[in-house]
Amino acid sequence: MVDYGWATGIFLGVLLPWSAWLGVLRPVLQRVVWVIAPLALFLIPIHSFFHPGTTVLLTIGHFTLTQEGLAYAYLILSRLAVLASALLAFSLSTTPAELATTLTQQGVSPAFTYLLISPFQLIPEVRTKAATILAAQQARGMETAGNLWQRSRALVPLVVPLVLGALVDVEERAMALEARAFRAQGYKTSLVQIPDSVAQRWFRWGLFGFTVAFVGWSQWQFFTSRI
Amino acid sequence: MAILHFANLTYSYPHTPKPALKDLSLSVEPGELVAIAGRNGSGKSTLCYALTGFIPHFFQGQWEGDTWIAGKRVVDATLAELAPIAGLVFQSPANQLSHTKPTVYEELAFGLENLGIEPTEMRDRIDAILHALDIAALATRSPLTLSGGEQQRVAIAAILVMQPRILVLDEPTTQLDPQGADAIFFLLSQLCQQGTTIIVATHDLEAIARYATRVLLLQAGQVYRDGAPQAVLADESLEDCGVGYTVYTQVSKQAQAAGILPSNQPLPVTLEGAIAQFQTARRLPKPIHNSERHTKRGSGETPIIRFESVSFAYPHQNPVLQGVDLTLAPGEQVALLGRNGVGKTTLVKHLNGLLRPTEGTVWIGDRATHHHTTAQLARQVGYVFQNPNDQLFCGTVAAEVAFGLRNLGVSRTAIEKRVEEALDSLDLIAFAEANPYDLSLPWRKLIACACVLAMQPAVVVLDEPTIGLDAQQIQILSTALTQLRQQGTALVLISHNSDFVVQHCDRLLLLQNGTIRLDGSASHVLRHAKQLTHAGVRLPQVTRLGMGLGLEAIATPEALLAAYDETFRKAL
Repeated sequence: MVDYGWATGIFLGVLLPWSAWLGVLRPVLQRVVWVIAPLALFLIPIHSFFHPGTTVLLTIGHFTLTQEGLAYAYLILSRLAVLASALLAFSLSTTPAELATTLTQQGVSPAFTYLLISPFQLIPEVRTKAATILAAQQARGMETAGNLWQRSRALVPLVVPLVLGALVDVEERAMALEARAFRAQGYKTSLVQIPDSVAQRWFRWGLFGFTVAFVGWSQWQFFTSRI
Repeated sequence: MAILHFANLTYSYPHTPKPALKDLSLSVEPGELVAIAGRNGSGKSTLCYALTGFIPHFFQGQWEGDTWIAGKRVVDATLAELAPIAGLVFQSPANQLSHTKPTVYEELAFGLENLGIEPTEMRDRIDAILHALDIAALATRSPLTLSGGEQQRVAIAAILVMQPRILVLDEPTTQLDPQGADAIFFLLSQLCQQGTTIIVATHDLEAIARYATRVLLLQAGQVYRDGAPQAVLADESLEDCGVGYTVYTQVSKQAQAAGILPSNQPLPVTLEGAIAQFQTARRLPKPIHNSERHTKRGSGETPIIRFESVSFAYPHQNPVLQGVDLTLAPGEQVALLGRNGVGKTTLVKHLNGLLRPTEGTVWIGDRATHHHTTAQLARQVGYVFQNPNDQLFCGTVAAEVAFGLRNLGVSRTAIEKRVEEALDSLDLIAFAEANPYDLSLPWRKLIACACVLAMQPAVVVLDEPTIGLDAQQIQILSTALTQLRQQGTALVLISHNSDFVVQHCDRLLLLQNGTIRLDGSASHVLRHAKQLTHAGVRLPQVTRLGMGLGLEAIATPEALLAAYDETFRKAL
């Protein structure tokens, strides 16, 4: 029997207080609702009516709404809420730069962290660039509003300069990294020291141990229930 | 001993048969400030890459000869070893940022972290460089939110903070306003005095004449002239190399031809040199007011553009424009002056509805921009953006120029004719079937101009059109603008190149603190020299020469010579 309270408990008891402590409770809640609400619109009717169950709550024509189906939809949604809020709390409270510094301090290769981080930084740039390109093409008489056909005609003049511009930039960016000794061998330092206390380290190991133990325990439950 | 030594360097980029550098030999001593001049495509950037080891370590291609940087044979060293010795700053500032740091302060630390510099020393160096480049106010800002000029200063600081013995800069001041550019060159000359070797490729002849200790003039990948600025910048062959002269040299040349200056003297290349020559040729005239005054303005016709109490603010920000009233008559040629960030681009974006006033109304003819899309207004107002890469997307130059015309619904036969005319006016006929991206950025800039000229709007807006162009390309643009004037097209120009501005615009507007502070003919506005300088405007070279000779508000070389001659004759 699945315990329905786990996900809800973690969401309400751990993730929301954690988000509040990080000062991102409001945006986390907002975004969780944005993610969950459209899914709920489909998941609830589908599972409520089609998930196998015996406790009938309502019958509409050939369709029966069961308590088990409703519970299952709730389980899926609560698990999604846990996943989304954990990721959101992390991404809203940690800047890509902090993540890069932390990873480098933990011994991850700078080249790897650069690859990991640079796409995040690119997003606002690409957005600005796209707005400029769109303005430049409008200034040449291109309509970007209107029906689907007009909008689709605007796609090529927008995307081509965006992609070509990015390709042109790649070479210069690689040069810029070289010019700033990014590939220098040997000891590297960091201006910003992200504090990492003994307690935090123990906590991380604790989380890791808990996860391993939890997975082991749930697998054990799964197999023993089959015997 | 030479800190840079090149022996017979020949280099060709991959898939290009013609070498970019040809049998180039060169020695640079420590503490020299060497300027590299030459037309676009003459090999300036390529030489910068070779001087920092990017050729042959970053760029593939064919390579012959030998190069040494600070005693290290380049082929035997790695780029990582050369980077702390020879720093490279290039043109586009946004691409020089690490894109991993949240603040300018940390951005400046990026190179130092890679070199393993301890945090205390890092902080000392960063604080010093922030102070030296006057960018301490930017320290806590995100590098990605800075303006182009601010980013350029940060990019220069990011290399300087690594304290390289050699600093190579490829057109480092193109994004800066004149004061910002002066500050950079002044800093370079100070660094040079402290022993850093500086090599700078630039089109800014005035800065070369003032700050460089030596000039290398490149022509087709070879050193064509190598010597002191005075000798190279006054050389007879300079124009053949696509470089042109400073206005001081040009005016003196004209004065020699007119018999105002003796023809046996070497041509001056600096303001001080030119003033000295004019002063010694004749006795200094008493200061007079230039007789050339207000030229005719908006001759009573219905204005093509009208701003009625226009204010504008970006969301959640302070207003950029405040109660601007402005009219522009058909065929009028107007320039907007003011320092970077003062709102010049914001103002011109109102001309075709890219921005709409938060208060007030902008009228284009009898149409208020509020009620029309930018595409609809494009028929009347053509706008050439600063960066051509933001608009070019077609496979050929001709197709690119035709794009706007197709949007306007022009017939196929008319398109062909107008494309040809536009390409012809900008000397681009030979490139009609070329892919725009196979051409260099300055040519792409001229293509972007052709795209707008072909649409034959009533008003053409040009935002910093001369940045990155060499003297020959500026001349091509000048000819096209003169044609526009003859056709009765109005022009709105934003440019820090004030000599270009006074050459093409009858009317100057000074934008300051969100309002138009000065508005009038060139000779009227130039009279407010102090106010203009205070507002970040570099006075035209010809105006400064006039002022040095006691002549006020001079806008053209012809006016200068006439006023000088007249005053001298009166003095007799």
